[in-house]
Amino acid sequence: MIIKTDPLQQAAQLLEITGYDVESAIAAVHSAHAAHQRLHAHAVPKGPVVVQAKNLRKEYKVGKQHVNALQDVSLEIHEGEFVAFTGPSGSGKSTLLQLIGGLDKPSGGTITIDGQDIARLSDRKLSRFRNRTIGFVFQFFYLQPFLSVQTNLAVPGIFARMKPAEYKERTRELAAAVGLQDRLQHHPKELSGGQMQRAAIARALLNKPKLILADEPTGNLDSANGEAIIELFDKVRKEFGTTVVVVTHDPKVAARADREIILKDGRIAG
Amino acid sequence: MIRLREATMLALTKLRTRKVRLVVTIVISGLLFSVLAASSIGARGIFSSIASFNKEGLSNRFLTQGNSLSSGNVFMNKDIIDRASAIYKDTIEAKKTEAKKLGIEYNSENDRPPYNEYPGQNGTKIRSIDPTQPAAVQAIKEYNTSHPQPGMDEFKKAASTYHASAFYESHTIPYDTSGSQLEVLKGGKETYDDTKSANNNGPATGLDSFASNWSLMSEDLLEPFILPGESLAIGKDGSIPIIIPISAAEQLLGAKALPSSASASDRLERTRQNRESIKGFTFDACYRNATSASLVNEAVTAQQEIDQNKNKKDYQKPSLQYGLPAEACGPAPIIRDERTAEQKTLDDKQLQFDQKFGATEGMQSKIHFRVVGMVPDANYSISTDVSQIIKSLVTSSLGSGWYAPLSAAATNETVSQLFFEANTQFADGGSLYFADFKTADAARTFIDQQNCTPDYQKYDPSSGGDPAQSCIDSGKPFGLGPYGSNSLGLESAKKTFQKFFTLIGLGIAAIACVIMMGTVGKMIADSRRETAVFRAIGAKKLDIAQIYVLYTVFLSTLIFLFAMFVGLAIAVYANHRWATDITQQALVAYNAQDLNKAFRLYSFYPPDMLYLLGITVTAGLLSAIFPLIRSLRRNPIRDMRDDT
Repeated sequence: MIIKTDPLQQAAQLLEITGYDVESAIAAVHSAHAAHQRLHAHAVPKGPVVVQAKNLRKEYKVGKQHVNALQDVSLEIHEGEFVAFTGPSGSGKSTLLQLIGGLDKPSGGTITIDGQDIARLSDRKLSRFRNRTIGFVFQFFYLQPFLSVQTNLAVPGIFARMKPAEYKERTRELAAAVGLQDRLQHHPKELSGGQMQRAAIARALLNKPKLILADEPTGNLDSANGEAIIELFDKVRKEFGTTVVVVTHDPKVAARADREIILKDGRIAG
Repeated sequence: MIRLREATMLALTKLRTRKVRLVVTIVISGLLFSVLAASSIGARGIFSSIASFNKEGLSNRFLTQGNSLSSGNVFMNKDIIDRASAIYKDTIEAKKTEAKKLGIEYNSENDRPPYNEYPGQNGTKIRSIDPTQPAAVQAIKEYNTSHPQPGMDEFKKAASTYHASAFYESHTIPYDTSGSQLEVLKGGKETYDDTKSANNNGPATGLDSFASNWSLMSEDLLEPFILPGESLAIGKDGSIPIIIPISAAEQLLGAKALPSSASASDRLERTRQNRESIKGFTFDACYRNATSASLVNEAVTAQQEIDQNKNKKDYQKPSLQYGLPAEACGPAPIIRDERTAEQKTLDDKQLQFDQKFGATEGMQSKIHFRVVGMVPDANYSISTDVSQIIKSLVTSSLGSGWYAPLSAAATNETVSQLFFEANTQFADGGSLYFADFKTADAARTFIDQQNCTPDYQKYDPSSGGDPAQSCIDSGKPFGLGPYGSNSLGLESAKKTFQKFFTLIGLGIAAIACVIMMGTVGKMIADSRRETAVFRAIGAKKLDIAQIYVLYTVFLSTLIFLFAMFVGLAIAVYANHRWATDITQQALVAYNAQDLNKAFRLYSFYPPDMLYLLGITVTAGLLSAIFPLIRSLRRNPIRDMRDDT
């Protein structure tokens, strides 16, 4: 669903969505309005550019047909910014996130993360880049079920060849930061969904990345937990100065972002 | 690459997934490899046990034995038959003349020809020499004299080229066709029946095997087999030291044979008792030449005839009757002589006539023996029983038979006569020559290069050919083989086992690889999402490969451990089942001084274990290659998306 950017259009749309529950619709309008304000506030950069995409294009081949997942996307995201990618399914928001995360290579255009053109990096260097510069958070958490929470948190450190004492200390710090200090020796199956996602965020932060990319981080959580996760992202951003990019369908999440980038049919729609 | 500790931790988590499949893989692959483990543990146990017994007997030596192949095919030899016919003809003429001169009757039809004749193909007649006929005996002797066989000198010459360090010989009692008799006096008593013979046909056991299985052998070869406290010196009482089969020892001791159902430990205990009791035990054997044996037989027959006719009024007892000897191995005495003067004169003339044509006076002699050792009995049965197969590895030490030192022939005239002057036609057929080599390789090379197998196709004996001629023509007149120790056999068995172990190992590894590929492939496929997540958070392809390689190593190690466990269990079971039995055999075969020495059917040989571990891990790694490459080539995004 595309959330209209015009307040009046938004109001009408939200009334329809909420089944003409006026209170909910008004709250949604306020939220959308705040988001709208933030959307226009990005014109004033808060710090150096962390993510820069120019004329980004991604084309997939499905059978004999070529599908343009992204077309001519250009954007800049600054240090410490909290940006939400929104848009309907198939609009290209996840593809954009993956290109930014170096999980996939663009078909055209350039993408620079922290000054590095990641499309030119070898697989080995790209892995190292992902490990040190980016923290991924997934909708389904993806914690290793047979490892303790502490070891799950330490995995990026393990791949970075961090010393055990160092990553153990760091996992304790992060667990405390996300409120899981008492759960370090537990296994993921012993945690709630919210706790698992907090653990996943802590894991993403282990190597002190400049950028956190979260793909539907609240998509598998109830609203309270979803709210808590957004709070956590906010906290992370403020405490660590980390740039947060979130792909979401959730208007509440988008409303909490500094900036919402709406994608439609592989292009930035607003 | 990530640190080994962390890689190990991540790899171990893989072992906790798909447990049923994992266990099935470990069990099936493990059972396959357990065949190798069991064969290694078992075979190495046998080898190491044999090696421990090798300090006994001749087993630590590299001896080869050779027998002359040029004994000649005397039966169909035309020259011998022709010569025998000529001697026969001359003898008939001479006998006729002599009979006429002495005034006695002579019927030449009673003298059978020196050959047997039977129909051949296309109406021809085939002649075969009769080795018991005096003319044939003489012709064969002449032939053997004019065709001397390669003996010790030739053997030494051949073996010296291969740096043999010492030479020995043995002679088995020759087959005597004259009708002489040789028997062990059981309980000091002689048996008088017409079935005994100096050369019993077919396999005999116990005391009955003496006449056909007695050998004289170089002292050096016998020395390791004498029992503690015994020596190979001729006794002050003239007793000849002799090593005898277990069954003969039991008969001499009057021990009741153990039932076939007797336990291995009972048999082992019996062996101990036998060894202790038989040491220094003395016994006599009686040798009668053909005339003496004939008189005893005549006495037996006459007495039987008298007994059968005692109720017949018109029965007339023979005018000259011999009786049974008054003492064991004594001469048959004349117990009644009612011949007329004329009859006596006629008999004297006949005796004169017979002696002119080869008849000898009656002679009988006791040979006094002293038991100094025991050897296992010959095993004539062909058995596929596991213990028999293993036993065959430990029975080759000295051989099975009766063994006295060669010096006995020098000190005892009867022995010398029996072995070297007997009325034998098979020149040197029972002689063996031995060479001692310093290394197994030297012995083996000697055998490989100098052994000859007679060509029975080119020289068909039924057509008068002598297969041994093929060997004589090639300048290799000896049949050669390892002797006295299983050092060569053991070396060969080890090499064969190694080949078997290596090849079968590779085959099993290939099968296990396919089985493991299923499990490893499935596990890698199942872990695609995890791999994708790891890749997203910074794992390099090499890091992922490292985790799966370690997983495969752990899986292979578990398979190896399972295989070792099953293999060991099999070997221990085999040990429980057969070890005591084989120990008993080995103690006797090697004349082990330490009776507490035991044969074990299990032993760990580290190189085999390392090889087994190596091929198991290699099979595991090979099984992981394709699934891993396929997994690493996949797009992690797709794997994350597919899984959601």
